Amino acid sequence: MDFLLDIAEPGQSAAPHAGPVKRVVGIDLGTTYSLVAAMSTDGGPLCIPDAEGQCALPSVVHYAGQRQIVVGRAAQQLALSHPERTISSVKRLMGRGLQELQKDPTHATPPWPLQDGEGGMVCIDVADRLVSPVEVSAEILKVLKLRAEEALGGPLQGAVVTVPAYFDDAQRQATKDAARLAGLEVLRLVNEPTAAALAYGLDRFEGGADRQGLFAIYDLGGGTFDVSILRLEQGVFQVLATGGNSRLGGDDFDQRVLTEIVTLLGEEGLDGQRLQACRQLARNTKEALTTAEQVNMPLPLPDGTVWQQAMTRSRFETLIEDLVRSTGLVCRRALKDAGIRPEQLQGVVLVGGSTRVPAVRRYVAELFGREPLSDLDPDQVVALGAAHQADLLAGNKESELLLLDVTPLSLGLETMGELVEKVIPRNTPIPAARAQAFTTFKDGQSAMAIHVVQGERELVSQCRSLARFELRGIPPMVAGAARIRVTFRVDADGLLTVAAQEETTGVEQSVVVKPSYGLSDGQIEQMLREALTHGADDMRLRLLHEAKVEAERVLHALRAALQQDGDLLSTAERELVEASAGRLLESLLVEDHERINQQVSRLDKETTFFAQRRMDRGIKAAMQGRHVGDFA
Amino acid sequence: MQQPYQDLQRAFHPDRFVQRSATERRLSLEQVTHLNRAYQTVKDPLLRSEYLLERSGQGGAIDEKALNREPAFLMEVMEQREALEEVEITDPQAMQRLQSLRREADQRIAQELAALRALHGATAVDWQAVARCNHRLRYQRRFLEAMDQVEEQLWQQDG
Repeated sequence: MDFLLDIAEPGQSAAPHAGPVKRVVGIDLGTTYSLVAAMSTDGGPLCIPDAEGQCALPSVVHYAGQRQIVVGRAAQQLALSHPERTISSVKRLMGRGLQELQKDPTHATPPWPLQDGEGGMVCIDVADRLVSPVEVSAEILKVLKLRAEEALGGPLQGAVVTVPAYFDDAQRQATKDAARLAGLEVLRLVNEPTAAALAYGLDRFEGGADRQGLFAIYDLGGGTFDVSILRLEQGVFQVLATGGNSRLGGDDFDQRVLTEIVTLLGEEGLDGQRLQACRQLARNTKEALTTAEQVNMPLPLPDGTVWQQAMTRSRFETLIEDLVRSTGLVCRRALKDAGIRPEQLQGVVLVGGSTRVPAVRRYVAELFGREPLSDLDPDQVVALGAAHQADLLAGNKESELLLLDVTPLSLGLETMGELVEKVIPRNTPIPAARAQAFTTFKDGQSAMAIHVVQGERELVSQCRSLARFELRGIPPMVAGAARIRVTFRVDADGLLTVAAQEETTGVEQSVVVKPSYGLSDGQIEQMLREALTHGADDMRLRLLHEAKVEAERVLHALRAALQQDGDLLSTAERELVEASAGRLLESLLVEDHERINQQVSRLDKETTFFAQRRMDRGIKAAMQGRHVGDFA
Repeated sequence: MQQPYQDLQRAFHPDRFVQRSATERRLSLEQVTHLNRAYQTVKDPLLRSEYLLERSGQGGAIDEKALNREPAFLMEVMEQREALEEVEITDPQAMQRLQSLRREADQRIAQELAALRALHGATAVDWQAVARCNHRLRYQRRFLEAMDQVEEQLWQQDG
């Protein structure tokens, strides 16, 4: 098997798991700011700054003429003069429909018109074009990707992208689509509070004889609020419960201050530019009140004079009091779901820029009965944790650390009377699968409508509709005789697929749906092609590069497997495997991505039995000396 | 139970297989999905009891509708529901009343759990009785959820 060893780069160790170090990053795609981080040479994660030394990229995208796009601080500046061409806080629109946003009382009208887009997803009418929130987010991600590639000296091989723990399925799907559109290979979507826990290295707090700790992560960002209750034991970060509000954050604080400023100004019908100036003033005021007891609010008026008023911290705290207190309900429910009393916690960790607000800190301290931990920069901690997780997933180092997460919201089906039947309850560990049996209620019924919803309420109309589909071709039977099995699967990214089949007749029908929001693979590919039209070669090179990376990964994994468990194969089997690997290696010499991909999937098929045997051996080893009775 | 669960997770979680072949990734996902299911089932007395009933092969003989119609059960359900409906959100005593209802429900649950332990511990298990216990427990759980919703309304009210 010498040829397989040739794949390792010179100077790399040949230990079973140590491959070449992968260029991977963690990305915090935030409502107001986004960051990218990577492992530094000394082993800790670091945020990657731009040329001016700034880590936080404002999540603002400006659409100029001639298809020119500006992202970040420059876009933030342009927002003052061209608010209608500049999109901010796009995260709040991710994976959402127009109607749903209009129904939402907390939704502040953005300065750009919204429209119904493809697949029920909202679209933004910005100047001369229609863009989806996925595309806008992809622009932000592209800038971070480029920044990281320059800093790390080559193309990225993968990224962990974080999402609020309380993001529903459509919001997660949209985030993953945005990353793919930006040309990132998503290693995993990770929940923001879980990433923060990893960054904090909460394992260092593990105290006591049983080496376990319970922690609450309170994460209040620009547009989303999350709380997670975690148990930490021997390097395993197990999320016990999570809760939140994907429509609550610092933006809402700004909005309250903005409303106050507009009232004080006493002017009706401010135009876009004036409103934008007031919004900026509101944010500056909020930030200044973190340290100051009172802040002056100067606003230049069109007539050349300057309007001026002051705001005290206590006035600000009154304005936001109900928003802050609404987080308490969510925390109490999460604690209850986890079966934990506040005094059992070892610590509470603050994450997200909005936890700088003194009133928020005071409230958290009161709620949990202890001073929260905040020794890491609350703006950076999520990205740092994501980088750490990316490094683990890439297999760059051996580690015992493992994140075990849960579903934030219950998943269910519509049943008779517009009621929801929960199939996977909230806070179920993922990956998860659950099947539910249904039957027909009419004689000869040949189809069944299946409506997938997400949420905690009993009525369908109060939950989030994720997908609708119809199972057809049920053979004629009397009512109640058919057996329709609906299976829900949630993968390690927290993404759902649903399948339905009729079981009694042996004629298996199966439909797999993705949520109706989000983009199909075809659409993504189409958009990628369009983005790269000016260079068809770019596209080909990129596909070839991806195919090669994948081939090398597969060959490397196989080499490690043969070293470790080669004894599971007979001589004949081993020859078969080697021949297959040899074909893949040969295909690498020809610069043709399709051919390489074909050989990769062929090798995969031809080594399935080997993978299965290795898995069985692993399970036997793990279960050695244990008996079913031990678990009862 | 926590220990073997974590050991198996460490060995088979999809995070450990990101760099492996598609087949290995799929197998890891399947194994850990089963593992999570098994862990949830073993950890929760009701799920465990339902699973044991299903595995006994006696589940098919149980008439769920008949269990629903049992007079003693119906009586209990009506009383509890009525008591909950009588809790007025605006009543200053609402939280205390809710807590006393919760204590009652918790007591009932504890009784059913003790009964289940005894039933499953017997040399010849009375599956009909197990099914009845499961059924009552399931109902009590749902009642707890209904109380949670009222409690949240109360929390919301006092902020």
